[in-house]
Amino acid sequence: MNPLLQHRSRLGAMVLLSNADAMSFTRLRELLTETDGNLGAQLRKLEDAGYVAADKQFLNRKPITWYSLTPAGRGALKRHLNALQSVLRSAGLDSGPS
Amino acid sequence: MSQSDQIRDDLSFVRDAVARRDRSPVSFTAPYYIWAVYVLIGYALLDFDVLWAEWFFATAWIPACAASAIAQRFLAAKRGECDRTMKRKSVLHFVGGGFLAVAAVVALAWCVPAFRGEIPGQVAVVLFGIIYFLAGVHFDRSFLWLGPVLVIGGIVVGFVPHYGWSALGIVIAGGLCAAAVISSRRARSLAQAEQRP
Repeated sequence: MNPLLQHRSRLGAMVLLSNADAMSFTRLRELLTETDGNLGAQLRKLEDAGYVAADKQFLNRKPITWYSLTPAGRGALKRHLNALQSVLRSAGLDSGPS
Repeated sequence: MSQSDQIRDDLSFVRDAVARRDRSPVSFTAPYYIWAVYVLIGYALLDFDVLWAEWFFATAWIPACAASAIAQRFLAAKRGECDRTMKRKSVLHFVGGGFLAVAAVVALAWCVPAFRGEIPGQVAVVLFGIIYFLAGVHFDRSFLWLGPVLVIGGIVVGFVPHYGWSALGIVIAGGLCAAAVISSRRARSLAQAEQRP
């Protein structure tokens, strides 16, 4: 398992980004119900690992930071989810896709 | 807490976040109003000056597409989500489908002498009805009923002696506005349900 993705906010952000081309910081914060500071710190760790890319833009002079999953991030997420599934299966907790 | 319990807890957190996203669907309704104006003007022109109507339909779709794209971009930024795959699909569906429909009608009018007068226009409306219906299947359920309205309208307009095209334009424009209102209301009610404890 990837230790970086063992934090639920980081895992949540990665899963959400895997289903969209890009998401703003505000949208991620709203969906993950996290505080600005915590989410910012978690996203920075993912950015440093090269799993997500950040792009700053402006809308009506207000800055928007867009986050998207990089190919390395997509691969890491896939491997991590497979590992999670194996752990749950070995514990007899995997009930298959629901 | 065991490792498997921790994983289950984390996955539950992630599932809630994904469910929250699914419960707040995108409501990009501004383009509906843009196309309602386009349809209203174009169809009304058909009853008054066919040449002007042809020019209008041949050129006004470009600024209408540009305005729709700008509106969608603005709304996506406001919502905080960018889905290029869906954008590509909808452009291919409406623009690609529209081009195919118009090309088919023009080719038929050129090849079949009997296919002249109001018939090409009616067939174009029927084809656009099918495009709208399929948009209902793939993108927004509001189009599911608007498609058949266009198909029926395209056929019925041939039996209306006066101002049939204007009437059809009003029906389609009204339908687009209704689809926009329904779509917005659905998104708003889902958002309100999400905010409730």
